[in-house]
Amino acid sequence: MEMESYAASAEFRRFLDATLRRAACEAVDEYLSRNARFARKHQLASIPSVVRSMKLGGLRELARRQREKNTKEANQQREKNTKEANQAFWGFLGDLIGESPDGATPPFALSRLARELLEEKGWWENEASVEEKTEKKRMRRRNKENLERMMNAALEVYFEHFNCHYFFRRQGED
Amino acid sequence: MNGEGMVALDGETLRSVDLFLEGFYPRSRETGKQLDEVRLDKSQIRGFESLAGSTRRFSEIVNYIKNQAGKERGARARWRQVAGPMLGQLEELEAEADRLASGDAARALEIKLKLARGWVRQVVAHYLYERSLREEA
Repeated sequence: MEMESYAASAEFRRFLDATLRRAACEAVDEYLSRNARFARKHQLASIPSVVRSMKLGGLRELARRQREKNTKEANQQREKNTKEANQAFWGFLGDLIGESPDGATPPFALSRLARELLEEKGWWENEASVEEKTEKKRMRRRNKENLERMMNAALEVYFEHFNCHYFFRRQGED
Repeated sequence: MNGEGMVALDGETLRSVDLFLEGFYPRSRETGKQLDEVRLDKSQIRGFESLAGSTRRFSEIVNYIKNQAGKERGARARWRQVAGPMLGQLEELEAEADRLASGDAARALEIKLKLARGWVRQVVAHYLYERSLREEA
């Protein structure tokens, strides 16, 4: 089955509906258990529109910009706490859509789930199986493209689950 | 297969779905009563019913409830009082769908939606009934 037709299959729709929901909820729970201060809910407001209009590249850029924005010097302690909380949040979010070179990507990260799905379906090529440099490079590029396609197909639903669970867990708070 | 990889459920499965919902009815009724007790507006309940009827994804129903509960501010905590039990009931419907589907992804999706829509209809009908009783009193 080609990747395009797989995206319309029941198996993939179940992956979006159940597997991604469990993972995104786990991600939120992990973030909340790992931090003492949390990003306010309005920080998440731009995620759906960025995901819809600019896909993975746009979300990566948003996470990067938000992280950098929150590293600037803060005068008041309260402002400093907010900036630190936002920085931790966007750093965490960046990890969900990035891939750690040492294989430490958390099991609930979208990038990890997408890669595992590619491997399971036989769409991930084993770079270690070839010696020739040019072919290795081509393989890496194809893997990267396939990973981005798979992540883009799942991105909107993953962050719908993520945002809704975040709002639910942070109910009654700003 | 018909449209977007959806399957038509066989008669036996549809009977199992109906039987399960029959058994679940007392709990749906209790939820409908709670929705009225916390004074959720009719328009919000109609919005919920409409979403359940139009979505192709079970998790959209779950996310709708979480979102409503999460966005309430201050003392106006209506969805927040009922979201936990509602999500718990949806979890039970999902587990039943997985059991009935016996590992078939397409069937599991259809059964989940069928169960969730049936449950929403039961809940909304009882909410409207409780509301009408209260308004008459």
